[in-house]
Amino acid sequence: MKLASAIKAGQPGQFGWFGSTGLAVLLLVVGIPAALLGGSSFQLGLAELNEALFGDARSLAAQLILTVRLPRVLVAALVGAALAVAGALMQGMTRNPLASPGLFGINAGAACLLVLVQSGLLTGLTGLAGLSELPLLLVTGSGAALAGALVLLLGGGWCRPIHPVRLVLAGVAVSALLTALTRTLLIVDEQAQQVLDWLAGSVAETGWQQWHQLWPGVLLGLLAALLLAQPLNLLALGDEASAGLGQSPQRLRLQVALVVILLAASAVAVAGPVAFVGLLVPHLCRGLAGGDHRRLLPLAALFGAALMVWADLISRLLVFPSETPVGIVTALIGAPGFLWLTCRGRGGLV
Amino acid sequence: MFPRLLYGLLLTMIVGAAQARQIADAGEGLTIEGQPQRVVVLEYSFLDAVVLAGLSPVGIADDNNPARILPALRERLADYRSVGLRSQPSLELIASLQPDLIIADLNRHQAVYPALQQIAPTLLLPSRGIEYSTVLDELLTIGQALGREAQLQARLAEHERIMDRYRETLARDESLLFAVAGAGGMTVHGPKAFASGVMRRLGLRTATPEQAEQAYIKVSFEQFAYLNPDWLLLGDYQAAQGGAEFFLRWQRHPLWSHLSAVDKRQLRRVSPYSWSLARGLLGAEQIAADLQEQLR
Repeated sequence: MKLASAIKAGQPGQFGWFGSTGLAVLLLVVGIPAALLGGSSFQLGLAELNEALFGDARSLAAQLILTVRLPRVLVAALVGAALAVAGALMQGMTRNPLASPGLFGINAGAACLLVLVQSGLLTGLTGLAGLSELPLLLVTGSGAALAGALVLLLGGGWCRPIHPVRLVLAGVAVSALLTALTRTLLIVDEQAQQVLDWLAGSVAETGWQQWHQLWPGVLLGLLAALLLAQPLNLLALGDEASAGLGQSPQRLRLQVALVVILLAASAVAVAGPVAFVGLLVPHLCRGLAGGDHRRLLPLAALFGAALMVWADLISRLLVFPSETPVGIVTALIGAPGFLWLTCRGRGGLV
Repeated sequence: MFPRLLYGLLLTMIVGAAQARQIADAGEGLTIEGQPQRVVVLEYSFLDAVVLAGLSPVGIADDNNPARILPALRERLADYRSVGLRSQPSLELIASLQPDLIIADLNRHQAVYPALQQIAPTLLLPSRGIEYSTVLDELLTIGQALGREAQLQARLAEHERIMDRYRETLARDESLLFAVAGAGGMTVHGPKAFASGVMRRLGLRTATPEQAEQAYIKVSFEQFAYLNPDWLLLGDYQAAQGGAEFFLRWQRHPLWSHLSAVDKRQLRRVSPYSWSLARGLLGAEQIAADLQEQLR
């Protein structure tokens, strides 16, 4: 029975892999220039884009594209890819279609440590004065990694084998605890409310510096994810079958968990907890191209990137000239999209 | 004949003072008699009017942080009880102070308005994001509620003279922009924000987008570069922690040195508490004094 459903999940979907990949690439090819030029108070056109990318980029508009827009779009795309792949891995590892990278407590951990540091409470507790001057990225990255490690530890991990259900439960509990702590701090300290925008997920403040901090971790994570694709396919056959085919499901789960934490923590550190990408995109891709992880993971990366690039463009246009956090846009797209997918019942594993 | 007329006049004044006054506010309005003595203030911006009327509130929602109160106001305050956060003032503490007037913010305290009314007559006025002209109107409304309108009217006339004097020395052709920096990024104060209204009152031009409906506008570096003011007045809420992180990043941006305010060395630090939180008469005068000192 398990085998039959797994094989069914492995079949390519209606669109086929090539059709779906073509669609994702098309969305990216149209979306990237649109996001590079759209929603600006400056007059940005194709001439400026050409000058910025292939010319000497001397005009202010070209400089803006090169120093503000390009890193922002690239960061958005990479964050989308990282979250989508992390989500696909998470769903494959736990064999739970509702799992998302947020289940590792990564978003909650990053937010909690950030608020702790911003409110000065951590400085007060530890007596270390330099804490509140730490770079944002280091704070959120450590918070994400710490929470991820904690969930992994509680869900089994180093000493015991990872149990998918225990892992999910540990993630839910740790996230709830950290979220409660964050909320309490936000109520007590009004100034800490300035992080609310960060909590919604935003790429508005990203530049080349963030890009350079983001790409090594994500690239490493994506490559590792591709290496884990075939073992994950075997895991879909069930623990016994997978062990019978010569791989240890426990070790695989640990490896996948570490890759998920790497990908999601990198993304969250730079962009904040962007909602729904890690949940929606893997679902969509599974419906389009089937459950074979060797095809699913690259497709999820492409669709995740496309979704974030478009969401970033929309986030700028929504309340122009003010910036809307991109996480709100992904949630606005994601929530109805997810409902639609589940109602159609083509979620692959559902 | 004459003394009787005087007595009559005196009598009407006494009766008039004791008579209940109807005051219209943003809530249900309130009826009040005499001059309230024990006033509780739930937002910094109302503090100004109460203190200028010659009263010191018995309770203030000061976010448990008296340092946020404008220094010029703080030194005129007698001992008061902090009633907690502006967003969540303690109703028990307020009731224990036995106030005879509470001044609350339409934006933050709408939900507890009925509860506040049970404790004491409550004046409900907008505070967050209000314009400079509204602040002046509210000053007189608070004056009416306190039964000290004449005193505040006189102070308002003095305020106008003070602002006129500043206006003469400050007027210039360059554009100004006040923005606050926090952990969440740069928030520009739009044309409707208090500080922008004060700057216009002083004959100065603000570089805010004209069509903006919001008082506070969050901007990215790109939009900030578009506004490109000649003078940037920056209130950094994280100054004590070494400055807002994003702003340090902006300063390393390749286009940073091309901004007018940077190029002309016209970036000035001001207190976000005076410029943004203290939306009152003294707050406006502090802004004018800061500008006179900074725009030389």
